[in-house]
Order: sequence, then structure tokens, then C-alpha cells
Amino acid sequence: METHVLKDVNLTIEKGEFIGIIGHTGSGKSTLIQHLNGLLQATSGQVLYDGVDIFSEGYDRRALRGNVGLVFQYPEHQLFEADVFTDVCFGPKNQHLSEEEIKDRAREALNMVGLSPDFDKRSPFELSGGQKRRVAIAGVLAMKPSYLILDEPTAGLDPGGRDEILGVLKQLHEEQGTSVILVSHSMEDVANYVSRIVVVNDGQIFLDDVPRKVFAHYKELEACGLSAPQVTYIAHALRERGMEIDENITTISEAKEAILKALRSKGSHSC
Amino acid sequence: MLKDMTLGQFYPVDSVIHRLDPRTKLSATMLYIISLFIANNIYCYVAAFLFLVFCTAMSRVPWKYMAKGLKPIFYLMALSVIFNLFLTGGEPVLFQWSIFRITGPGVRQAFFMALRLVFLVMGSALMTYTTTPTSLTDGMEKGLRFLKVFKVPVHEIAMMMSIALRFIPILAEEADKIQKAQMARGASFEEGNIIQRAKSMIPLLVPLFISAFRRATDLAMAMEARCYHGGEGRTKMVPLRYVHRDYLAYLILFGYLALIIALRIIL
Repeated sequence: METHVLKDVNLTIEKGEFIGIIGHTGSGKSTLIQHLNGLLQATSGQVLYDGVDIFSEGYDRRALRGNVGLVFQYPEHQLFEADVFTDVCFGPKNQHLSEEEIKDRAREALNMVGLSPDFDKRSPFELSGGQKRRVAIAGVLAMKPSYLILDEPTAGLDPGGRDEILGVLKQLHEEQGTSVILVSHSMEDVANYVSRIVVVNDGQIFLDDVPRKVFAHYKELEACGLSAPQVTYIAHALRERGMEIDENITTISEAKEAILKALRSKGSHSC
Repeated sequence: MLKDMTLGQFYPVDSVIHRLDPRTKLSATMLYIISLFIANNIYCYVAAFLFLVFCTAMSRVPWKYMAKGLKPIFYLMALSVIFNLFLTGGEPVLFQWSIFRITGPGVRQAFFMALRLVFLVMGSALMTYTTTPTSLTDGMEKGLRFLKVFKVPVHEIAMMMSIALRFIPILAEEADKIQKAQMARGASFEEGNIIQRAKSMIPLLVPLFISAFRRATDLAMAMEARCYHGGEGRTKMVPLRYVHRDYLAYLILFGYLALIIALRIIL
């Protein structure tokens, strides 16, 4: 019997977007992103980058991988050089840039992830888990991709480390206009940062919309083994208890405002 | 891809042979191999062939699958046939062309050697088809326990073997992942001359070794946390125990061996 890991996928990612891809374990999201830089080739169908099929004859997939940076899950496992700086240089070196350019990019990438030059000569293996991961992400950032895909970049990090990494991504998106594609199953992460959510279920794209519209389908999300952010549940629960509250909130700050607004209007009624 | 590599070739069906004690199957394979070396005439080989057919039929492993095991030894077999065919002396000479000569004993020798190799490989393949690697190491551990007298650390060796077997697919998957991660950073594993290629393996091998060590220490810790302290006084959840069918199997086995010896002596 033939089984499809991915099926009927039709997805367009524009420059400058900040997208979240969510789906439960085994839904095909990791497989999906490996198609985007040509690590995997689909048995049928095409992947176009700037309108060109990446598997057409003579296409430079190595250059493509510089443009579409992919950070795997637990990227710290890919570190191999004796010191942090050399490891970050690996990507740009493969792009055959000049020595100076390589060093500039590596330094810039390390600055971006918040690692000072003090770290340059240290062995990546003696760093903490969060620092290692930032080195690994810098290794991809140094290639200056215009699209950056990250597979569960916050898995196994404490809340501090998580916010730092997501902060770096946000900064990258805002300051350099890099498109960021964030694969995650943490609804809170996704809801706080992205402007568009793609829900993958059983290898198919189930929903593709702005976060509040996606989370409005929270019952269907649950059927796919996913959930909406906790504040969405709170909003629904409050509404059930008769509070006049906007139920499509997705982040904590939105929730705060919505609840205060609801309380105020309630207060004015009773007065 | 590395991930597609198969190791061990267990064929999962339920049969009498599958249910035999791994020690029985190990000794059976040993004895079968010995019997092949005792065999020296066509009747012995017929008996060996019939025995193999009997065991395969009992094991319910399809013939096609059994034949597949022969593929890797094809060249070895061809080589040994050619050598035996041309380099065996004796009379009568059937064919002669410059230094190449085929003799009657040569043909006989080549034919028997081919049969011996085929049976040998199929016999041991049948064991791996019907025994999981884990129960095989279990069987070895218990079957070779007597070596302890000679201070051979049988339990430790068996434990290392089963851990190594268990880790092969994990490490293969890890290697695949790291390879992709480095490719995503622009690495190429198929370019350049042999030195460049060897160098390009560094970004793959270093993380792989590190991860292997990490897994090893984690596993050691987990084993210690569960009070593992070597084989001394360690019991098994499913201890290997000979049952009726094993005794019956041994009976058949020794009957077969006696037959081969008899055939060799009488004929």
C-alpha cells in the first residue's frame, strides 16, 4: 500500500513573512520543510524558488541552501569545530566568500544571537545548552539567508532561553526583512510572534490563515491533536459564564486588554 | 541513504523454528556446518539438501527470501568454482588449452564446493531469518557460559553486543540527520578528490562521535540508576529454557549428523 507523507500541498511563502507551521508529531511538518531547500525531492510536484523549479537541470541547490537557511531540530548536535567562531564560519566558507567577508558575517551572526567576542575562541562543547543552540543558529544566520526555516528552535530550552531565541528571530525579521518560518507545536510561541499560521495534519495543509482565525477553529485543532493558546480557552470559558469578551484573542497582552475592556463595560452597565 | 540500511534480517512469522531456543538454533547451525565438511559424496549432499529443505519448510520463510541471501556470495562462489575447476589435478583430463586444464576430479570438486558454499550460507541465513539479534545474543550468553571458567567475560560481551546492535539503527538515523544539517549549511559530500572527500566527512563524523559518546554515558547512567552491576546474580525476565521441541530438534539433528557420517563411511 502506498502512503503519502505529504499530499496536495499548495503553499506560497512571500518575502518578509513570519509564518508558523504547526502540526502534531508525525504530521509531516519536518518533511515539508526539508523540501523547501531541496534536501528532499518530492516524488511528484514542484518546489519553485523565485519562480524556478529547484530540481530543474543545472539548478544550483547549494546556492539555494544559502538563500533558504534551515535550522534543524536540536541544531547544537551539528557543531563540530574546535572553537565557536570557526564553526560559524563553516556555512559562509561553503558559499566560497572571501576570507574577510566570512569573518565579518560570522561576527555579525554571533552578535545577533547575543554572543560576545569572548565566546569566539571557546569550544562549542563547553557551552550551556542554550548557548550551543545560539551558536548553531548563528551558523545558519552567517549564510545570510533571505528565508530562514527553524524546526522547533525552542525545544528543550527554559523559558528564558526560549524568549531569547524567539527575540532574535523577531529582530531578524523586523530589521533585516528576513522571512522566518517557525515550526513549532507550542501555540503560545507561535501566537506571540507570527502573522500567519499553516496547520499541517496528516500530510495535508489543514488551515492557512492569520492566527486569530486559525485559533477560532480550536475544536478542529483539538481533533488534529493540537490546541489553541491557553488564553483562547480562557476567553471561551469566560464567555460561557456570561462575560462579554472577544473570544478570538491569542496572546496574553490581548487577553489583558479584552478582559479589562469587558470588565469596564460591565461596570458601566451596573452603574 | 544510511537510514535504509538493514541489519539482521529477521523474517517475522511464527513457526516451530522461530520458537526454538536460540541455543538450539546456534548449535544446529554449528552442527550443520560441520556436517557439510564431513560430507564427501553426492549422497551426503543430497541428505544435507533434504535437511535444509525440511528446515526451511518448517520455518515458513519463503524460498525467494532464502535465495536472496545468496546474492552477496555470488562472486566468492564463482571464484572458488573457477579455481577448483582449473587447479585440481588428477585424471582423466577432460579439456586442455595451454595451461588451462579441466579434469574429472576438478569438476567434481568445483561442484561440491559450490554446493557446500550454498548450503553453508543458506543454513546460517536460516538462523538469522528465524532468530532476532537480541535472542541470538541471549542464546550466546547462556550457551557459552561455560567459558567463564576460563575467565572469559561472557555476560559483558553479550551485553555489549546487544547494545551495539540496538544502537546501529539509532546512529544511522543520527548520521542521516547530521548529514542533512550540514548540507543545509552548504556542505557537499560528493565533490572533489579523495582527500577533499575525506575532509568533508569531518563535519559528519565529529558530531556523530560526540553523540555516540553522549548516548553511551546516558545509557550507562540509566543502567546504573537501575542497579545494573554486571552479570553476577542477574536474572532474566524470560529465561531461556529448553522445552520438548528443543529436545526433539536435538534428536533430529543428531540423527541427521549420524546419517551423514554413515553415508560417508559406507559409500
